[in-house]
This record gives sequence, structure tokens and C-alpha cells, in this order.
Amino acid sequence: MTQNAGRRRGFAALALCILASALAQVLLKIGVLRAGCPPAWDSVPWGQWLASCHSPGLWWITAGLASYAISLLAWLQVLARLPLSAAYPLLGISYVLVYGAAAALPVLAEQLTPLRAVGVLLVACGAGMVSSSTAPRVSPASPQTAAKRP
Amino acid sequence: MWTSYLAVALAVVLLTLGQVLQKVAVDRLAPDITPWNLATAALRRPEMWAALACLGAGMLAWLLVLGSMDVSKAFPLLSSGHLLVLAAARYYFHEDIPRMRWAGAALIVAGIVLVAQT
Repeated sequence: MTQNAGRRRGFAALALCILASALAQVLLKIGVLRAGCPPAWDSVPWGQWLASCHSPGLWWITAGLASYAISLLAWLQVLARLPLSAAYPLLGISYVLVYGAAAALPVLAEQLTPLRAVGVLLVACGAGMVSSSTAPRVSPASPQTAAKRP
Repeated sequence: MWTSYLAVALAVVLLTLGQVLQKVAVDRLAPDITPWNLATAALRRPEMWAALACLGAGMLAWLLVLGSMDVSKAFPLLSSGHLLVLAAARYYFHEDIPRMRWAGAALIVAGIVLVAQT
């Protein structure tokens, strides 16, 4: 039962992690757009480069980083409770969320081609499959599960 | 454009390394630890600081990517990190990887190839 509770907490943390990471991407992109910094490899010296950014954009980027930090903290909870190869790829749901946000938010004004949509779906499905567990299920009463408990 | 892809690759490697190092850090803690203790105990581990350094550097690389690429294009490219994690899960953490997961990895590769065309 404690193991089940641990798994439930793990998946709740995973849900938070997915939402926060998708939100972080959207906030960061809006921030980069609003900041209007030139691409860094346009041979602008670093000092000048930062000075040429607009501060409202930097606030959006800060909000994006905060959201990223929340997803990271949630991720730590996930890591402690679920196996890595099962937990990490479920983050694939965030690919659909980010694409949906890019399509829905006029501020991003992204060029959404069918090819890109198919690619995103493949990535999300692939991520979902990578998360699937086809290992044999173990019933709670089985000796293997009992042996793991102290 | 190739500089954008170089930045994507750099971001993927750093962010993935950050994830794996976090796993190494929390794996050495007691499994029934409370959420708050987990975060503070993790911060006492050197692997966690290495993880944060990687995540910070990876985030800088990622901002360079977002500066020159649509987020709806760049973010799916980040999924190549799943492939690195799968390799780490198999060869470093010695987890058993069912065939289904390798098939998923193949779909991810196909998706990345399509997205990169756009």
C-alpha cells in the first residue's frame, strides 16, 4: 500500500512537471520574442548583446525559468518514486501541449505546417511508447513485492 | 541555420546530462523520504550540483535556440533527449528496456526527421 501511495504521488508530481515544463517553454519563447535580442552568433559582443535586450522580455524569461524550476522540483519527486525509463518519456505529453499553445496563441504567430504537426504527433506517440511498460505485472501479494519492503 | 542545430544539440546533451545526474543524486537517498527533505537532501549531494550546472548551461543554450527557431519546431527536437535517456537507462542504470520502448525511440527519430524538414 505504501508503494501504491508512492506511485500515486509520483504520477501527481509527473502531471505538475508536464504542465510546468510546457508553460515554461511558452513563457521563454514569449520572453525571447519580447526581449528582441539579436541572435547571439551575429557577432555582437556579449556585453552589448545583453544591453540590446528589452527588459519586459527578460521578465517573461524569468517567469519561464521559474516555471522550469517548478517542473524540476516536481521532477525530483518523480525520480525518487518511479523508474527513470518509465517516468521520463511521459513528459512527451508536453510536446502536444507546446504545439497546441503555439497554434492557439496569436503572440507566438508560428508557422504551423501539416508536416510539423505529423512530426510532433510521431514524437509524442514515440515518447508515450517509450514510457510503456511491458514488463510482467507483479501482484501485491507476490513474494517479489513483499521482499522489497523492509 | 546549422548554428541553431548545433545549439539544439548542445542544449539536449546538457539538459539530458542534468536529468541523469539528478537521478544519480536521488537514487542515493532513502526511498521513503518526504518531499521537502528530498529537495534539501539532494542539494547536499555533489551530483545534484553538477546536475544544476548542466541544467543552467543547457538553459542558456536553449535560449539561443529559441532566439532563432519556432518553439513548435525546437521543442520536438528536444525529444532526442529521450534517446539519450533510454541509452542511459539501459547502459548506466541497467534497467530492462522492453522492445516497445525501442519502437517508441524509432518513432521519435521519425518525428524529429519530419519536424526538421519544416
